Amino acid sequence: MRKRPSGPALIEIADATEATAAPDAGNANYIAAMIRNARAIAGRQADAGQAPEDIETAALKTLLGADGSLEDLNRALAHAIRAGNAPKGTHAHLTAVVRSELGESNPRYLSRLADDG
Amino acid sequence: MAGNLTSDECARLTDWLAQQADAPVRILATERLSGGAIQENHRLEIDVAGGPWPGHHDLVLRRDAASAVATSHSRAEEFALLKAAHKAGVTVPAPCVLCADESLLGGPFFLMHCVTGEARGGRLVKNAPDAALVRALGANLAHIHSITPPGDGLDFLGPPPKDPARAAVAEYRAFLDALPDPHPAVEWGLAWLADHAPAPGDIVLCHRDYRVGNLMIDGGKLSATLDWEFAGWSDPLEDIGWFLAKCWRFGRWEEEAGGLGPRDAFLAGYEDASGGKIDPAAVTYWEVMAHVRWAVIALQQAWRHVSGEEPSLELALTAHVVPELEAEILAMTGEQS
Repeated sequence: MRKRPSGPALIEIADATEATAAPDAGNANYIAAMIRNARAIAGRQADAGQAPEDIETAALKTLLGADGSLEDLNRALAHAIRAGNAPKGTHAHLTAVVRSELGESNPRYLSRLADDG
Repeated sequence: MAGNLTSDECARLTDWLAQQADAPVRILATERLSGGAIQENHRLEIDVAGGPWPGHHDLVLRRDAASAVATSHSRAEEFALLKAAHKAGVTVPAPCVLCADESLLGGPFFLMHCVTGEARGGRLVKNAPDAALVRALGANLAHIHSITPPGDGLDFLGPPPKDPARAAVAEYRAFLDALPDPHPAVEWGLAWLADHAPAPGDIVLCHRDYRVGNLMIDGGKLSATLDWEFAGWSDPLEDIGWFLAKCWRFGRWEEEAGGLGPRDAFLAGYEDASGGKIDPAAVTYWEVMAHVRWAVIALQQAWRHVSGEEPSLELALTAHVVPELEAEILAMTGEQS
């Protein structure tokens, strides 16, 4: 499940930051890099669309043998893990979800992980 | 209370300094230093005409900023930590004097010696790997850990935890419970930490943010250990795991001691200075803890933005560091919870 703020909310804070940024500030380069990063993450999320969360929801239904929204299913999984009742396949499921999110938040990190085997 | 020191503040400060120095004092220059949303640092150059501290002094005045929030140690507490650390041989800016009288500058402040160097991790990891430097960083951490409860003037740290690992797991679970979204990958890490918690060992003073970024380096040498606001009693391995964790290598993963040098050199420096041996498996446990702790803090920071409490692009982006931390947690813990 994508971390908040995602998509439009990320673009909104990037736009607001750009509108009020002072170009001669000592940290102007840092601010500009953050704005680029936020827009890039939101752009990759928009490109991927609804598919990653649909896949995650379907995988959670199978893993938990239950129905519900993506958020409810993740909450049920979190409770099961804490209670020591994580269903078999939980680690593989979480790894797949995290890799999918990493592909949106930091694809370079994901490819470095792959290079490291 | 914000921005540069006013002329009235400088006048009151001059009189107070003269009392402290038992001699006439002139303020030669003041300058607000960058950084520090919660604390303000001002460079203060003074000349003392006689008394026990005659001559020119290059100091830093540290006080709460206007936007200060009551989450970290107070200036008086931070001064006590600096004094204890300095006495124990830790490389810190030498603390000079604390002023608790709020009528001078509107709040408590303290003076310490000015130290120069580079603390930014992104810059430091561009230097050649430096085994001697990370060895010294290990030794410096051992000096911090030579301070044991109750410490001298450190009563404000409270009683030492009986079981730091399990106490941390309980604390981070409570933090997650206060956030609205579920985070099963972080929960996976916490379940692993609960299942693999070591038997409680020695309790010492831990810095609790000892990493590249909070260590000032000048010409390849450590010049200051900064940011004591999270310091507290804990397992010494908590600091070692935090320092070595992959998430604090600023992208230079192969240099496992903060991106600056080899892990072995850091641990050897620590062992030589402390006289103890470090169990590598125990360090791994606390490296998992480091990633979990940073993930929980990052989610808390992001929520400050999402909730509207403090709209900030920097806080918003912190949410998107979490998948990196989750990937490392899952890789380190493996299939069996």
